[in-house]
Amino acid sequence: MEAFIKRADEGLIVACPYYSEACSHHTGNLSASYNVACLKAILSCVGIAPERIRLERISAVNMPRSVQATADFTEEIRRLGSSQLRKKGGKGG
Amino acid sequence: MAKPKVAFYWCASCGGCEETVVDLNEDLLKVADAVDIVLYPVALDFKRKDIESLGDGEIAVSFINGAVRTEEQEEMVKLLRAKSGLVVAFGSCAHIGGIPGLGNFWTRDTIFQRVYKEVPSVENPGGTTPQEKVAVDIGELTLPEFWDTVKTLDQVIPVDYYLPGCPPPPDLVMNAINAILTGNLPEKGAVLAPDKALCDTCPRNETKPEKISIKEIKRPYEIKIDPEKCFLEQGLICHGPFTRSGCGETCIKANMPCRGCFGPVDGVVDQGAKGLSAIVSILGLEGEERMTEEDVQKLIDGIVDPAGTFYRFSLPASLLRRRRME
Repeated sequence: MEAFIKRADEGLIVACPYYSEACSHHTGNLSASYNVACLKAILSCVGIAPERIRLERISAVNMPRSVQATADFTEEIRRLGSSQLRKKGGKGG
Repeated sequence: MAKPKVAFYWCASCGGCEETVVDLNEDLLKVADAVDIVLYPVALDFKRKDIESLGDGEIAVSFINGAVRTEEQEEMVKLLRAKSGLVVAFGSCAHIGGIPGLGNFWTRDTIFQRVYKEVPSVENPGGTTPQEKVAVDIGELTLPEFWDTVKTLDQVIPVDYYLPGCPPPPDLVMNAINAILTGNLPEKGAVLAPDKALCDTCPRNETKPEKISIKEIKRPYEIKIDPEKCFLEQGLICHGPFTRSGCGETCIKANMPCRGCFGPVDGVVDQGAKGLSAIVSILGLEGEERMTEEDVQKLIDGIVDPAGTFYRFSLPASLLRRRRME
Protein backbone atom coordinates (compact mmCIF):
# COMPACT_ATOMS: atom_id res chain seq x y z
CA MET A 1 0.00 0.00 0.00
CA GLU A 2 2.87 2.30 0.79
CA ALA A 3 4.13 1.83 -2.76
CA PHE A 4 0.72 2.82 -4.05
CA ILE A 5 0.56 5.97 -1.99
CA LYS A 6 4.11 7.07 -2.72
CA ARG A 7 4.43 6.82 -6.49
CA ALA A 8 3.15 3.60 -7.97
CA ASP A 9 0.15 3.48 -10.28
CA GLU A 10 -0.27 -0.23 -9.77
CA GLY A 11 1.06 -3.24 -7.90
CA LEU A 12 1.81 -6.71 -9.21
CA ILE A 13 2.51 -9.15 -6.42
CA VAL A 14 4.07 -12.43 -7.42
CA ALA A 15 3.88 -15.28 -4.93
CA CYS A 16 4.98 -18.87 -4.87
CA PRO A 17 2.41 -21.25 -6.40
CA TYR A 18 2.94 -23.94 -3.79
CA TYR A 19 1.05 -24.49 -0.58
CA SER A 20 2.29 -24.42 2.98
CA GLU A 21 3.86 -27.84 3.18
CA ALA A 22 5.95 -27.31 0.06
CA CYS A 23 6.79 -23.64 0.52
CA SER A 24 9.23 -21.92 2.86
CA HIS A 25 6.69 -19.14 3.41
CA HIS A 26 4.31 -21.67 4.94
CA THR A 27 0.88 -20.03 4.97
CA GLY A 28 2.22 -16.67 3.73
CA ASN A 29 0.89 -17.29 0.22
CA LEU A 30 -2.60 -17.89 1.49
CA SER A 31 -2.40 -14.77 3.66
CA ALA A 32 -1.32 -12.84 0.55
CA SER A 33 -4.46 -14.06 -1.24
CA TYR A 34 -6.67 -12.84 1.60
CA ASN A 35 -4.70 -9.63 1.88
CA VAL A 36 -5.02 -8.76 -1.81
CA ALA A 37 -8.74 -9.69 -1.89
CA CYS A 38 -9.42 -7.43 1.09
CA LEU A 39 -7.15 -4.66 -0.15
CA LYS A 40 -9.08 -4.56 -3.43
CA ALA A 41 -12.28 -3.87 -1.47
CA ILE A 42 -10.54 -1.14 0.55
CA LEU A 43 -9.02 0.50 -2.53
CA SER A 44 -12.47 0.57 -4.18
CA CYS A 45 -13.77 2.54 -1.19
CA VAL A 46 -11.14 5.22 -1.71
CA GLY A 47 -11.75 5.46 -5.43
CA ILE A 48 -8.82 3.37 -6.65
CA ALA A 49 -9.66 0.74 -9.29
CA PRO A 50 -9.14 -2.70 -7.68
CA GLU A 51 -7.64 -3.94 -10.99
CA ARG A 52 -4.57 -1.89 -10.12
CA ILE A 53 -3.46 -4.57 -7.74
CA ARG A 54 -3.00 -8.16 -8.87
CA LEU A 55 -1.66 -11.30 -7.26
CA GLU A 56 -0.07 -13.95 -9.47
CA ARG A 57 1.23 -17.25 -8.16
CA ILE A 58 4.17 -18.21 -10.35
CA SER A 59 7.09 -20.51 -9.72
CA ALA A 60 10.53 -18.85 -9.66
CA VAL A 61 11.68 -21.10 -12.50
CA ASN A 62 8.73 -20.36 -14.77
CA MET A 63 10.18 -17.35 -16.57
CA PRO A 64 7.84 -17.40 -19.59
CA ARG A 65 4.85 -17.23 -17.24
CA SER A 66 6.45 -14.33 -15.32
CA VAL A 67 7.07 -12.41 -18.53
CA GLN A 68 3.55 -13.04 -19.76
CA ALA A 69 1.97 -12.01 -16.43
CA THR A 70 3.99 -8.79 -16.36
CA ALA A 71 3.06 -7.99 -19.97
CA ASP A 72 -0.63 -8.70 -19.33
CA PHE A 73 -0.62 -6.50 -16.24
CA THR A 74 1.20 -3.69 -18.03
CA GLU A 75 -1.43 -3.83 -20.77
CA GLU A 76 -4.20 -3.64 -18.16
CA ILE A 77 -2.62 -0.59 -16.50
CA ARG A 78 -2.17 1.14 -19.88
CA ARG A 79 -5.90 0.66 -20.36
CA LEU A 80 -6.66 2.12 -16.91
CA GLY A 81 -4.29 5.08 -17.34
CA SER A 82 -2.51 6.96 -14.59
CA SER A 83 -4.00 6.64 -11.13
CA GLN A 84 -5.49 9.58 -9.21
CA LEU A 85 -3.48 8.85 -6.09
CA ARG A 86 -1.56 12.07 -5.94
CA LYS A 87 -4.51 14.31 -6.65
CA LYS A 88 -5.38 16.72 -3.82
CA GLY A 89 -8.47 16.07 -1.79
CA GLY A 90 -10.82 18.96 -2.67
CA LYS A 91 -11.87 21.53 -0.08
CA GLY A 92 -9.63 21.12 2.95
CA GLY A 93 -6.84 19.50 0.91
CA MET B 1 1.84 33.35 41.74
CA ALA B 2 -0.62 33.27 38.85
CA LYS B 3 -2.05 29.87 38.08
CA PRO B 4 -1.21 28.33 34.69
CA LYS B 5 -3.91 29.01 32.12
CA VAL B 6 -5.60 26.01 30.49
CA ALA B 7 -8.00 25.88 27.54
CA PHE B 8 -10.32 23.09 26.45
CA TYR B 9 -11.71 23.30 22.95
CA TRP B 10 -13.79 21.07 20.66
CA CYS B 11 -13.85 20.77 16.90
CA ALA B 12 -15.47 17.93 14.88
CA SER B 13 -16.37 15.71 17.81
CA CYS B 14 -19.31 14.23 19.68
CA GLY B 15 -18.89 15.78 23.14
CA GLY B 16 -17.60 12.56 24.69
CA CYS B 17 -14.20 14.15 25.29
CA GLU B 18 -15.83 16.90 27.38
CA GLU B 19 -17.64 14.15 29.25
CA THR B 20 -14.36 12.48 30.16
CA VAL B 21 -13.17 15.74 31.75
CA VAL B 22 -16.34 15.71 33.88
CA ASP B 23 -15.56 12.03 34.65
CA LEU B 24 -12.45 13.20 36.49
CA ASN B 25 -14.99 13.56 39.33
CA GLU B 26 -13.40 14.99 42.50
CA ASP B 27 -10.09 15.32 40.67
CA LEU B 28 -11.72 18.00 38.52
CA LEU B 29 -11.89 20.20 41.63
CA LYS B 30 -8.16 19.73 42.16
CA VAL B 31 -7.55 20.68 38.53
CA ALA B 32 -9.81 23.73 38.87
CA ASP B 33 -7.81 24.76 41.99
CA ALA B 34 -4.47 24.32 40.30
CA VAL B 35 -5.20 26.03 36.98
CA ASP B 36 -7.10 28.95 35.53
CA ILE B 37 -9.48 27.69 32.84
CA VAL B 38 -9.69 30.31 30.08
CA LEU B 39 -11.81 28.44 27.53
CA TYR B 40 -14.24 25.55 27.90
CA PRO B 41 -17.19 26.00 25.52
CA VAL B 42 -19.24 23.10 26.87
CA ALA B 43 -19.34 24.54 30.40
CA LEU B 44 -18.10 28.11 30.61
CA ASP B 45 -19.04 31.25 28.73
CA PHE B 46 -15.76 32.50 27.34
CA LYS B 47 -15.64 34.05 23.89
CA ARG B 48 -13.16 34.08 21.08
CA LYS B 49 -12.22 37.68 21.87
CA ASP B 50 -11.15 36.56 25.36
CA ILE B 51 -8.57 34.30 23.77
CA GLU B 52 -7.56 36.92 21.21
CA SER B 53 -6.82 39.34 24.05
CA LEU B 54 -4.21 36.97 25.58
CA GLY B 55 -0.53 37.23 24.73
CA ASP B 56 1.21 34.64 22.53
CA GLY B 57 2.08 31.54 24.54
CA GLU B 58 0.16 32.84 27.57
CA ILE B 59 -2.02 29.70 27.82
CA ALA B 60 0.11 26.96 29.40
CA VAL B 61 -1.72 24.17 27.58
CA SER B 62 -4.68 23.80 25.22
CA PHE B 63 -6.45 20.46 25.14
CA ILE B 64 -8.11 20.33 21.74
CA ASN B 65 -10.49 17.52 20.88
CA GLY B 66 -12.20 16.75 17.59
CA ALA B 67 -10.98 16.53 14.03
CA VAL B 68 -10.74 19.66 11.90
CA ARG B 69 -13.21 19.93 9.01
CA THR B 70 -14.45 23.52 8.86
CA GLU B 71 -12.90 26.91 8.28
CA GLU B 72 -13.96 28.04 11.77
CA GLN B 73 -12.27 25.06 13.44
CA GLU B 74 -9.10 25.82 11.50
CA GLU B 75 -9.16 29.47 12.64
CA MET B 76 -9.76 28.54 16.27
CA VAL B 77 -7.02 25.92 16.48
CA LYS B 78 -4.55 28.27 14.81
CA LEU B 79 -5.49 30.98 17.33
CA LEU B 80 -5.08 28.54 20.23
CA ARG B 81 -1.75 27.34 18.85
CA ALA B 82 -0.42 30.90 18.81
CA LYS B 83 -1.62 31.59 22.35
CA SER B 84 -0.48 28.26 23.88
CA GLY B 85 2.83 26.93 25.16
CA LEU B 86 1.64 23.35 24.66
CA VAL B 87 -1.10 21.84 22.51
CA VAL B 88 -2.41 18.38 23.31
CA ALA B 89 -4.48 16.54 20.69
CA PHE B 90 -7.16 15.20 23.00
CA GLY B 91 -8.99 12.04 21.94
CA SER B 92 -9.15 9.89 18.82
CA CYS B 93 -10.61 12.54 16.49
CA ALA B 94 -7.86 15.10 17.13
CA HIS B 95 -5.22 12.33 17.27
CA ILE B 96 -6.05 10.21 14.17
CA GLY B 97 -9.33 11.56 12.75
CA GLY B 98 -11.76 9.38 14.68
CA ILE B 99 -15.30 8.56 13.62
CA PRO B 100 -15.80 11.93 11.85
CA GLY B 101 -12.80 10.88 9.75
CA LEU B 102 -14.97 8.26 8.06
CA GLY B 103 -16.42 11.27 6.22
CA ASN B 104 -13.27 11.06 4.09
CA PHE B 105 -14.87 8.14 2.24
CA TRP B 106 -17.24 10.80 0.86
CA THR B 107 -17.17 14.45 -0.23
CA ARG B 108 -18.91 17.55 1.00
CA ASP B 109 -21.51 17.28 -1.76
CA THR B 110 -22.29 13.60 -1.16
CA ILE B 111 -22.51 14.20 2.61
CA PHE B 112 -24.88 17.17 2.13
CA GLN B 113 -26.95 15.16 -0.36
CA ARG B 114 -27.35 12.32 2.11
CA VAL B 115 -27.81 14.33 5.32
CA TYR B 116 -30.08 17.10 4.03
CA LYS B 117 -32.00 15.33 1.25
CA GLU B 118 -31.95 11.53 1.38
CA VAL B 119 -32.14 10.53 5.04
CA PRO B 120 -35.66 9.06 5.52
CA SER B 121 -36.33 11.16 8.62
CA VAL B 122 -35.54 14.44 6.84
CA GLU B 123 -38.27 16.58 5.25
CA ASN B 124 -36.67 19.13 3.00
CA PRO B 125 -38.95 19.75 -0.02
CA GLY B 126 -36.93 22.80 -1.08
CA GLY B 127 -33.71 20.79 -1.08
CA THR B 128 -32.00 23.40 1.11
CA THR B 129 -28.38 22.76 2.03
CA PRO B 130 -26.11 24.94 4.19
CA GLN B 131 -24.77 27.97 2.35
CA GLU B 132 -21.70 29.95 3.34
CA LYS B 133 -23.50 33.24 2.67
CA VAL B 134 -27.15 34.20 2.54
CA ALA B 135 -28.71 37.67 2.20
CA VAL B 136 -31.51 38.47 4.67
CA ASP B 137 -33.34 41.70 5.56
CA ILE B 138 -30.78 42.74 8.12
CA GLY B 139 -27.78 42.02 5.93
CA GLU B 140 -25.66 38.99 5.05
CA LEU B 141 -25.44 35.88 7.23
CA THR B 142 -22.44 33.62 6.97
CA LEU B 143 -21.48 30.08 7.98
CA PRO B 144 -17.98 28.63 8.04
CA GLU B 145 -16.93 26.60 5.02
CA PHE B 146 -17.43 22.83 5.42
CA TRP B 147 -14.53 20.96 3.86
CA ASP B 148 -14.48 17.85 1.71
CA THR B 149 -11.69 16.49 3.87
CA VAL B 150 -11.54 15.79 7.59
CA LYS B 151 -8.09 16.43 9.05
CA THR B 152 -6.29 15.36 12.18
CA LEU B 153 -5.21 18.22 14.44
CA ASP B 154 -1.54 17.82 13.53
CA GLN B 155 -2.39 18.18 9.84
CA VAL B 156 -3.50 21.75 10.65
CA ILE B 157 -1.22 22.94 13.49
CA PRO B 158 1.89 21.58 15.24
CA VAL B 159 0.88 19.33 18.14
CA ASP B 160 3.07 18.68 21.20
CA TYR B 161 1.39 15.61 22.71
CA TYR B 162 -1.40 13.16 21.95
CA LEU B 163 -3.94 11.75 24.37
CA PRO B 164 -5.59 8.85 22.56
CA GLY B 165 -8.99 7.28 23.06
CA CYS B 166 -12.65 7.67 22.33
CA PRO B 167 -12.69 9.27 24.82
CA PRO B 168 -9.35 9.22 26.67
CA PRO B 169 -9.91 7.54 30.03
CA PRO B 170 -9.83 9.82 33.11
CA ASP B 171 -6.67 8.21 34.54
CA LEU B 172 -4.66 9.05 31.40
CA VAL B 173 -6.11 12.57 31.38
CA MET B 174 -5.14 13.09 35.03
CA ASN B 175 -1.66 11.66 34.42
CA ALA B 176 -1.22 14.08 31.52
CA ILE B 177 -2.41 17.07 33.53
CA ASN B 178 -0.10 16.15 36.43
CA ALA B 179 2.83 15.67 34.05
CA ILE B 180 2.21 19.10 32.53
CA LEU B 181 1.80 20.83 35.91
CA THR B 182 5.00 19.29 37.24
CA GLY B 183 6.94 19.65 34.00
CA ASN B 184 7.60 15.93 33.99
CA LEU B 185 6.92 15.44 30.30
CA PRO B 186 8.25 12.95 27.74
CA GLU B 187 9.78 13.95 24.43
CA LYS B 188 7.61 16.18 22.24
CA GLY B 189 5.37 14.28 19.86
CA ALA B 190 4.76 11.46 22.33
CA VAL B 191 1.46 9.67 22.72
CA LEU B 192 0.65 9.82 26.43
CA ALA B 193 -0.29 6.14 26.77
CA PRO B 194 1.63 2.85 27.00
CA ASP B 195 3.51 1.80 23.87
CA LYS B 196 2.21 -1.75 23.71
CA ALA B 197 -0.60 -3.52 21.90
CA LEU B 198 -3.91 -4.07 23.65
CA CYS B 199 -3.49 -7.85 23.32
CA ASP B 200 -0.55 -7.57 25.75
CA THR B 201 -2.80 -6.22 28.50
CA CYS B 202 -6.03 -7.98 27.54
CA PRO B 203 -7.51 -10.12 30.34
CA ARG B 204 -8.40 -12.78 27.73
CA ASN B 205 -4.78 -13.14 26.61
CA GLU B 206 -4.19 -15.93 29.11
CA THR B 207 -6.83 -18.14 27.53
CA LYS B 208 -5.81 -17.29 23.97
CA PRO B 209 -4.63 -20.37 22.08
CA GLU B 210 -1.16 -20.30 20.59
CA LYS B 211 -2.54 -20.57 17.08
CA ILE B 212 -5.83 -19.03 16.00
CA SER B 213 -7.52 -19.84 12.70
CA ILE B 214 -10.74 -18.02 11.80
CA LYS B 215 -12.99 -20.18 9.63
CA GLU B 216 -15.75 -17.62 9.30
CA ILE B 217 -15.93 -13.95 10.23
CA LYS B 218 -18.76 -13.17 12.63
CA ARG B 219 -20.30 -9.89 13.75
CA PRO B 220 -21.05 -9.34 17.45
CA TYR B 221 -24.84 -9.53 17.03
CA GLU B 222 -24.64 -12.87 15.22
CA ILE B 223 -23.30 -14.96 18.07
CA LYS B 224 -23.58 -15.34 21.81
CA ILE B 225 -20.17 -14.01 22.78
CA ASP B 226 -18.24 -16.09 25.30
CA PRO B 227 -17.11 -13.60 27.99
CA GLU B 228 -13.85 -15.47 28.67
CA LYS B 229 -12.55 -16.44 25.23
CA CYS B 230 -10.40 -14.35 22.90
CA PHE B 231 -12.70 -12.56 20.42
CA LEU B 232 -10.55 -13.55 17.46
CA GLU B 233 -10.89 -17.18 18.43
CA GLN B 234 -14.67 -16.66 18.26
CA GLY B 235 -14.41 -15.27 14.71
CA LEU B 236 -14.96 -11.64 15.73
CA ILE B 237 -12.66 -8.95 14.38
CA CYS B 238 -10.90 -7.47 17.39
CA HIS B 239 -8.46 -4.61 16.87
CA GLY B 240 -6.43 -5.62 19.92
CA PRO B 241 -3.38 -6.93 18.02
CA PHE B 242 -2.88 -3.61 16.19
CA THR B 243 -4.16 -1.04 18.69
CA ARG B 244 -2.38 0.76 21.51
CA SER B 245 -3.19 -0.24 25.05
CA GLY B 246 -4.02 2.15 27.91
CA CYS B 247 -7.81 2.22 27.69
CA GLY B 248 -8.32 0.00 30.72
CA GLU B 249 -9.82 -2.64 28.40
CA THR B 250 -13.26 -1.16 28.99
CA CYS B 251 -14.81 -2.56 25.79
CA ILE B 252 -13.32 -6.01 26.44
CA LYS B 253 -14.75 -5.97 29.97
CA ALA B 254 -18.15 -5.10 28.47
CA ASN B 255 -17.75 -8.20 26.24
CA MET B 256 -17.18 -6.23 23.05
CA PRO B 257 -14.11 -6.54 20.83
CA CYS B 258 -11.67 -3.64 20.55
CA ARG B 259 -12.58 -1.17 17.78
CA GLY B 260 -9.18 0.50 17.57
CA CYS B 261 -9.84 3.97 19.05
CA PHE B 262 -6.39 4.29 20.68
CA GLY B 263 -4.68 4.22 17.30
CA PRO B 264 -1.51 2.29 16.51
CA VAL B 265 1.56 1.76 18.66
CA ASP B 266 4.67 3.82 17.95
CA GLY B 267 6.30 3.17 14.60
CA VAL B 268 3.17 1.95 12.79
CA VAL B 269 2.42 4.28 9.90
CA ASP B 270 -0.98 2.90 8.92
CA GLN B 271 -3.16 1.24 11.55
CA GLY B 272 -5.64 -0.08 8.96
CA ALA B 273 -2.98 -1.78 6.83
CA LYS B 274 -1.40 -3.22 9.96
CA GLY B 275 -4.80 -4.53 11.04
CA LEU B 276 -5.48 -6.04 7.66
CA SER B 277 -2.18 -7.94 7.79
CA ALA B 278 -2.87 -9.10 11.35
CA ILE B 279 -6.35 -10.41 10.59
CA VAL B 280 -5.62 -12.07 7.23
CA SER B 281 -2.69 -13.91 8.78
CA ILE B 282 -5.14 -15.91 10.92
CA LEU B 283 -7.93 -16.36 8.37
CA GLY B 284 -8.85 -19.89 7.29
CA LEU B 285 -5.49 -21.57 7.62
CA GLU B 286 -6.91 -25.06 7.64
CA GLY B 287 -7.59 -26.86 4.36
CA GLU B 288 -5.44 -24.49 2.36
CA GLU B 289 -4.69 -27.08 -0.31
CA ARG B 290 -8.35 -27.39 -1.22
CA MET B 291 -9.06 -23.67 -1.10
CA THR B 292 -10.17 -22.01 -4.31
CA GLU B 293 -10.19 -18.30 -5.17
CA GLU B 294 -13.93 -18.35 -4.52
CA ASP B 295 -13.34 -19.72 -1.01
CA VAL B 296 -10.85 -16.94 -0.32
CA GLN B 297 -13.29 -14.33 -1.61
CA LYS B 298 -16.14 -15.80 0.42
CA LEU B 299 -14.17 -15.53 3.65
CA ILE B 300 -13.14 -11.96 2.82
CA ASP B 301 -16.74 -11.07 1.96
CA GLY B 302 -17.53 -11.95 5.58
CA ILE B 303 -15.73 -8.73 6.55
CA VAL B 304 -18.57 -6.30 6.03
CA ASP B 305 -17.17 -2.91 5.02
CA PRO B 306 -13.45 -3.74 5.31
CA ALA B 307 -12.38 -0.13 4.72
CA GLY B 308 -14.65 1.15 7.49
CA THR B 309 -13.65 -1.73 9.74
CA PHE B 310 -9.88 -1.41 9.52
CA TYR B 311 -9.85 2.40 9.21
CA ARG B 312 -12.72 3.02 11.63
CA PHE B 313 -10.81 5.63 13.64
CA SER B 314 -7.72 6.35 11.60
CA LEU B 315 -8.59 7.11 7.96
CA PRO B 316 -7.43 10.78 7.95
CA ALA B 317 -4.12 9.80 9.60
CA SER B 318 -3.58 6.82 7.28
CA LEU B 319 -1.63 6.55 4.05
CA LEU B 320 -4.95 6.57 2.17
CA ARG B 321 -6.23 9.71 3.96
CA ARG B 322 -9.40 9.99 1.87
CA ARG B 323 -11.36 8.88 -1.16
CA ARG B 324 -9.88 10.25 -4.39
CA MET B 325 -11.80 13.28 -5.63
CA GLU B 326 -13.52 12.85 -9.03
